[in-house]
Amino acid sequence: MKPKDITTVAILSASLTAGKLALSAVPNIEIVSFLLVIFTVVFGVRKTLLTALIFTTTEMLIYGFGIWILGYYLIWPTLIVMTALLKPFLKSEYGYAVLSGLFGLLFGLLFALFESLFYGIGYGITYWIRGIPFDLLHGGSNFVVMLVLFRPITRSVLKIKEKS
Amino acid sequence: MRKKFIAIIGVGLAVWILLSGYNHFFGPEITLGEKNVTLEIVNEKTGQDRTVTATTEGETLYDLLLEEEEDLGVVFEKYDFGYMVEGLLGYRTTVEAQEYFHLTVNGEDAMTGPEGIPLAEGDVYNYTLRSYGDFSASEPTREEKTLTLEIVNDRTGDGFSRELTTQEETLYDLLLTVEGSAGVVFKETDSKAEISGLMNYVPGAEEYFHILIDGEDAKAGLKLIPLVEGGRYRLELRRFDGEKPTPADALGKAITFKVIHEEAKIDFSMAALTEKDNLYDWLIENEDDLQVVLEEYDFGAVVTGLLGEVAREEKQEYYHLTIDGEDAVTGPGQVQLTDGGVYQFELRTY
Repeated sequence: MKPKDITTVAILSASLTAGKLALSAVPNIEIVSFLLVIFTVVFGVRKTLLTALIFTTTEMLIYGFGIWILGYYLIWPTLIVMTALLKPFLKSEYGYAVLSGLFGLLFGLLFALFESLFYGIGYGITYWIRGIPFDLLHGGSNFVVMLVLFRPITRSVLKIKEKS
Repeated sequence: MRKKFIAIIGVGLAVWILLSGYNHFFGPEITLGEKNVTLEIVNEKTGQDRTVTATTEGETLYDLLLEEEEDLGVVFEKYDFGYMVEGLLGYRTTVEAQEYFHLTVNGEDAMTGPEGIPLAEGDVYNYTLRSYGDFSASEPTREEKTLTLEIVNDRTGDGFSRELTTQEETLYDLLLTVEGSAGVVFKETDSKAEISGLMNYVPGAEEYFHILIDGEDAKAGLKLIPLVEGGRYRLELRRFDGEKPTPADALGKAITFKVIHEEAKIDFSMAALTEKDNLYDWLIENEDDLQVVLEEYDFGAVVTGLLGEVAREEKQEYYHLTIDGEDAVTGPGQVQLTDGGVYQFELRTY
């Protein structure tokens, strides 16, 4: 990997961490999935997967280790890969907004499936059902953020990429 | 832009409809008006249990806990999924101690925190202090059970085998009931109890009392071993090196040292083997471990502090000494240690 790529990944990871911390006080609104989609569109799968890996590890250093960290190591790459696979078919911000919204909606289900591996199906079902209100808000906020910010942010990030 | 605005409104509406549907099918059924409910708190660690019958217009258990917050010393912790109770009656659970307050509603495990539990007339809400291990361990049962308790000490030749019928739930509870007759001495830490003496015998540095259940090694501590019908519970003196303890005279005097400080919630007990002749010398020997504070007077030394708690003059406090249950008439310097003696310091006021 070239030094320039390493630097790029480092900056992207830092921006994810900073973005998450900045919005941590606002419940159910997160910018991580938004940025990961943008990064996948602009920088490609490989760099974004590395970014997600570093970001999740940083989370662990900040918040401590828990089963949830293992879930994040799987869930963020899932979003990145889905974005990369659907990119040829998504022609506008509406498509990405639907993708992001669905991801938010299914976030709890993905986590519940993961938690079921450790605590059983019954726990997983309860976990998912109890989290549905949060998933609805998560999905809705993801949709809105992506719809409004996709174009301007993608343009800005592309400009930065071209200049560097 | 207009299209985006319509899309945002549409998604907002869809989220609102789905949330309403969720609350309708899965949300708590709130009962309005006055309700008579019972709130129980059980904490076996401190022995502080409380039952409160309340008449409230609150809608959820969280509302009730807010009303009783000061009286019951309720400590809430906020999580993403809502508030959870992490402290009651002055006791705070900690992750390090791996414990939590388990909530049941009319005897059934609650599936949500207090904010999601609607209050209903006649319902009983119970918070019981539990260890994380209790979540998956077999539930101790409250019905009567007949079992066998054995204590084996090959070193002294003492033994104890008795068939008992009990309603106790754990091996720890059972040993408490035979504490006197079996000479059980516990060493208690925040989350667990260990045996530091049985039948007036204190294990040496290389010995311990091993627990066997139906012939198999116990996998948990005393407080986590449930009692079951027909069980065989054996406490056997063993050596850490695996050798069998051989009969020999025990060195020194086996004594029991206790400290009681109600305000600081200290109920400390330890068994010790010592060659010291008097209590003062023994206290000096264990000064660091027991944080002993002694004040010297013309008539001898007086204990003014133990286990980090000092008797406060302004509150007219002092450490009262009893020997085998009887008030001591002298200071520790004049108290001769005897084999099997029980020496207790209890904080009192004049």
